[in-house]
Amino acid sequence: MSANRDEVMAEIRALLVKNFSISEENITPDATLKSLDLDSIDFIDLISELERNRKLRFAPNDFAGVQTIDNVVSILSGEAAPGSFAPEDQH
Amino acid sequence: MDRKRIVITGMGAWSPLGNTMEKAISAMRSLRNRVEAQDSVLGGYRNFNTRLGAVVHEALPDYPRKKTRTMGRIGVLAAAASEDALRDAGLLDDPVLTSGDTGIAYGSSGGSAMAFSDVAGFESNKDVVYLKGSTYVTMMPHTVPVNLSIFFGITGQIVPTSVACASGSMAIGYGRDMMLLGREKVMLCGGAEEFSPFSVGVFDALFQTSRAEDPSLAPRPFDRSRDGIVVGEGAGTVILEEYESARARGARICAEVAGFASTSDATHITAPSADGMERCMRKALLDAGLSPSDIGYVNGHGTGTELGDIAESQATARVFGDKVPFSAIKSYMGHTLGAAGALETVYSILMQRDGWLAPNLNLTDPDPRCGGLDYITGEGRSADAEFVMVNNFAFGGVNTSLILRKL
Repeated sequence: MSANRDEVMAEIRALLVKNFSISEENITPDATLKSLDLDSIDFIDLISELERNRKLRFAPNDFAGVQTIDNVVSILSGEAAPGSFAPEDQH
Repeated sequence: MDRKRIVITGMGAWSPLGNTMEKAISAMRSLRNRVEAQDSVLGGYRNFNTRLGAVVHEALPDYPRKKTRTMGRIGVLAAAASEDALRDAGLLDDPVLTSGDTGIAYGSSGGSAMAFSDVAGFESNKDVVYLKGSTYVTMMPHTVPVNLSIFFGITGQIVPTSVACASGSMAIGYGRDMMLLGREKVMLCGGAEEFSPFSVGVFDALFQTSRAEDPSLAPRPFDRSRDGIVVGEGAGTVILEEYESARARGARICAEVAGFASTSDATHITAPSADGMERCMRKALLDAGLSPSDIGYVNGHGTGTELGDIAESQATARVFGDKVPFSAIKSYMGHTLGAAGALETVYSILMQRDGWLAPNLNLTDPDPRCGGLDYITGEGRSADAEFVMVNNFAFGGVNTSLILRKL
């Protein structure tokens, strides 16, 4: 699932603005999902959109433990392995 | 022991007639319907028989995304009408809402069509990635009442009344029943619907939509030349309280819910039965302890379909004879489906309060196959109706009759 990091960030930013009414200036790599007021349902909806864009299905644990937008970008761009943010007992 | 008296202390309505009581009364008194060509919505679909619809024109409130993310337009309409009703009752932000003693009875034909496209993608592509975390909760039958509960922090029981075109009236009836049982101190009751190509398509597929070219001439319930339903949208909410406690807190009382009944035809999934409707009206009268002659106005369901109009008017005539004034608000705002029973109850209370009964629009030549009733036509009629009956009938043969008393 490797992709250019900037492209992935732009894709996520566009989705968060369009689907979640989040102000663009708040969407920084360091922003946490919590600070953007994204709960579990929101995050699943975000992941669903990313799946549709890619026409693939992520594994249930791929995004376990992600905290920040940067974490999500890292996995989608291939810089971090899927599931690498999960707590130890979920690996 | 005498039965408790349950009263309406607040009302809210968003419909093609407007989003305030003043606009609704003014719209009815204008004697013009609010039906329009909906080419911008329906034009992108092939093979529709109809091009008509009736929609809410006011901008929806700008609620935070987190509160509306699983609502769709239907839920936001319901929230807007409910906020107005709670404010009208003086209960918006009142601690009783979160006390556990306030419940919700609310219904709709279904959830928001916004979620249907997810299911369509899932099925047509055979791919689960098309389903989102919010898909089911936006389309589930009780999506509107539970979204309202989260929106207002209402923590009592949820009574979902999603029975298609009787959802709103069923909500008021079952809400009343919960109050009589002493389950809650306050019930927020109503129904909602959003206009969508799907909601129109459901009736179009059954050849039940109006093909009229001139929007001002449709629908025309009970007229010989009626040709079907015009689908509408909206939301209506009423707040129920027990009479003595409402008085004790100085609440303004809109009307008493004096009687309610519901019956099922048990005959056909879509074709209505005059017998089932008649039983429903008689049971509501029995529930209220009234005779047919006590009812000063009957607000009919009046969808403008051949089978529906004939069955309803015949059933009404069997119960009331030809003396009771009778009209249907759908001739003004189309069929608002899940919202219809609640909106028509609110508007009937307005007419009852103002002593003016709106005429049936576009009724110039009553179908001789319809029951012989005192159809209100022309400029409407002045009347002092202490009791009015509001009737609604839904697919599946579900019938409701509410009786409202002016206090």
